[in-house]
This record gives sequence, C-alpha cells and structure tokens, in this order.
Amino acid sequence: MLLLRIGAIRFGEFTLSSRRKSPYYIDLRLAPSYPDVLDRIGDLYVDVVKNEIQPKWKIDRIAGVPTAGLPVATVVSQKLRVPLIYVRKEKKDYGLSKTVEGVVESNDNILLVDDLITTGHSTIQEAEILRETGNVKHVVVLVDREQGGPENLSHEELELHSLIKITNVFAYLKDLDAIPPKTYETVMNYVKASEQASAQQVVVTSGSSQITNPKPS
Amino acid sequence: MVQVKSPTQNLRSTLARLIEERALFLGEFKSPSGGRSSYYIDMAMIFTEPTSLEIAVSLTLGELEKLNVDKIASPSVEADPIVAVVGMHAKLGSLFIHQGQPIYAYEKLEHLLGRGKKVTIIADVTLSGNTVLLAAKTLRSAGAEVWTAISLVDLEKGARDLLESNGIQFIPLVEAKDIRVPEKREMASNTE
Repeated sequence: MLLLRIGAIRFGEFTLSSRRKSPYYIDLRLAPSYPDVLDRIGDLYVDVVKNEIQPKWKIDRIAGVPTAGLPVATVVSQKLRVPLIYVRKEKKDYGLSKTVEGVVESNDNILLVDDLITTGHSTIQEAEILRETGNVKHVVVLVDREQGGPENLSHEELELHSLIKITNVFAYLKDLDAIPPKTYETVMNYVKASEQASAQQVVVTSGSSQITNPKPS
Repeated sequence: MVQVKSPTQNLRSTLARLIEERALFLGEFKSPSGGRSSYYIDMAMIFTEPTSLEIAVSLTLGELEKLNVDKIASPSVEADPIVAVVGMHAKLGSLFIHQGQPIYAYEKLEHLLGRGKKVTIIADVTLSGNTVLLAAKTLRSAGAEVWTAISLVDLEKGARDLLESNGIQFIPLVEAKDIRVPEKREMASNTE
C-alpha cells in the first residue's frame, strides 16, 4: 500500500481544516517526496479519467487545488496532455492579482482533481469558483474519507470518482496486522458516526424527498 | 559566421520565446517587494500548458544532471508544478517550502531529507532572491546542504548576489536580457 509505505496515513488525534477532530490523518503532500509513488498515483488518476470520464465527457482543463492537490494535478495534466488551471488560495497583491492561474475559456469542461474528499464542502466551493467560467461535472480524488462527500457533491450535480475508499484502507491494514484491532474499531466508528452526521445534515438542508441513502459498505 | 548552438542553448531560447508569447504581460505592475515594473512574467502560463511545461522540465533536467543532487525543493506555490514534475522525471524527491515554511501536516523536514541531504532549490521567477534564501535557510536548519538554486527566469534584481553571498551557486535558465519586452510604442499600435 503506497500511502502506508510513505507514511502518508497516520493514526492519533488530529484536527482537520474544518476544525473537526479525526483519529487519523492523510497527508498527500508527502507523495512528491517519493517520485515513484507520485508517478504511480498519477497513473491511477489517469486510468480513472480514461475509463470513467473521458468516454462520456470531453475534458478541456484539469483544475488542481493548492497546496496538497497541485503537484498531483500537474502530473495528471502532463500525463493526459490536458492544460492545467488552479485556483489560488490567496489572491496575490502583486503582479496580475488573478484568482485562477492558467488559461480557461467560457464553457470549457473542467475536471476537478484533488487529493482527498471529506464532506465535500471545500470541493463544492472550489467548483463554484470554476463554474463562474466553465462547466464542472466530475471530481477525481485519491481518497474518499467517506464522510458524506459523494452524497453532498451529487446535490450540486457533481459526480465523485475516488480511487480508494478509506474503510477499504483500514480493512486492508487490519488484515495485514498493520494496525491494532482497537485502532481499527476507533477509526471505523469515527467514519460511521460522521457519515450518519452528514446524512442527518442532508435531511435538514434538503428535505426528506431528496435524500439519497448512503450505500451500504 | 555560422553559430552552432548546443541543444541546451536551443531549449533556452525556445523557453524565452514561449515566455514572450504566453507569460509576458505589459502594463504597470506592483512587484512583490513593493516596487513597480512595466512588465510581469507569469510562469503559471508556462507550467499549466503541457508542451511548454515539457520544455521547461527538459531544460531544468539538463541542468540538474550536471549537479550532485539528492532532493529538489520548491520555495513557493508558483514553483510547485514544475518541481513536482521535474522530481518525478529525475527520480528525485521534491520538498515544498512555502515562504520559509514546510507545508507538511506532521512530517518533519529532517525525516523527509533522510540520507539525501544535498538539495537544489528550483524557483519559477527570481527578483531579489529573498524567497529562495528563505527556503534555503529552512532547509539548512533541518540539516540540508543547499549549494545550488535554479531559477527558470531571473529578472536580475539582485538574486545572484544575495544567493552567492549566502553560499548558493545561482543558475538562471533564462535571464531578463534574453526576454524581448516590446516597446510601449509598439504596444499602443497593437491596440489600434
């Protein structure tokens, strides 16, 4: 397992960017420290794009998300030979003061490429900025943290393509005895609880008629 | 007299021409140091276009081959795209230090350096060289040996002096003098 080998997945107590606590953390910013891993991860994205998206949707631009998602998005852009764009986290107060770097034209089909998805809220924000110019329909991530991401995205007409589901990673690690049973239980309970919390949020925000039940795993 | 150019020289002038075509913006711009400039170079316009990126990567790889390097490092988010792709092709690990801060959530720079401590910094554009120096200091305090820095475009605003006085050999791939900035007169006629 690539992520484990490079120490990109850690167990303990972490605070996510949403300020929520998590008993595990994935840091894909580590991937470029291991060029063969970055190359392999890039190929995995390319496979998904070629098999699941390109047959039904022409891609004009690949959008990367700084900081963690930009290196891998660049690699995917180069491998697919599709131009890259990215939304700056902070607008520069010098030079061109642009929000979106790269060239994007109106009605371009933009594929959003990110490292991972939790609830999907930051992905949705990113897509909204890109939708000011082009069309955003598909999102590819390496890891789905299974905390309501695909469901929340589908309400915004975004389809998630994830390379790995986090509970599969945990199950794999447990089978290898790479994590103690207690850690496995803690992280599985955490995922289950936050999935339910996310589903409840959906009930509140969109009414009962639109609920899509989380798929049983 | 026939001038024979080496492949590297050809790539350099190809990159300079690409910058003029895609990445050069004329007007009045604020520079990061607060000064004013009549033009601005946005290397994101090169790194986001696969063919242009490939040329920039080949040129950088050619310079890296001449150096004794274990790892490469990006000093800012603007350089991350080229550093990641160069690292992948050169089979060198790449490190990301933005404005002097390592970007990692929990991993220590010391650990990422591992046994390979010779680090070359690769910048997109250099002016004063401050951003590169900041990254070099952070890397050095984590135990890295930083002897060299490559800049895709050096605008000759002091980076060479600053870096060399701090023990860093400075290697610009394209320099301000290689870029043909059209005169304002020509620009005015373009808009007529």
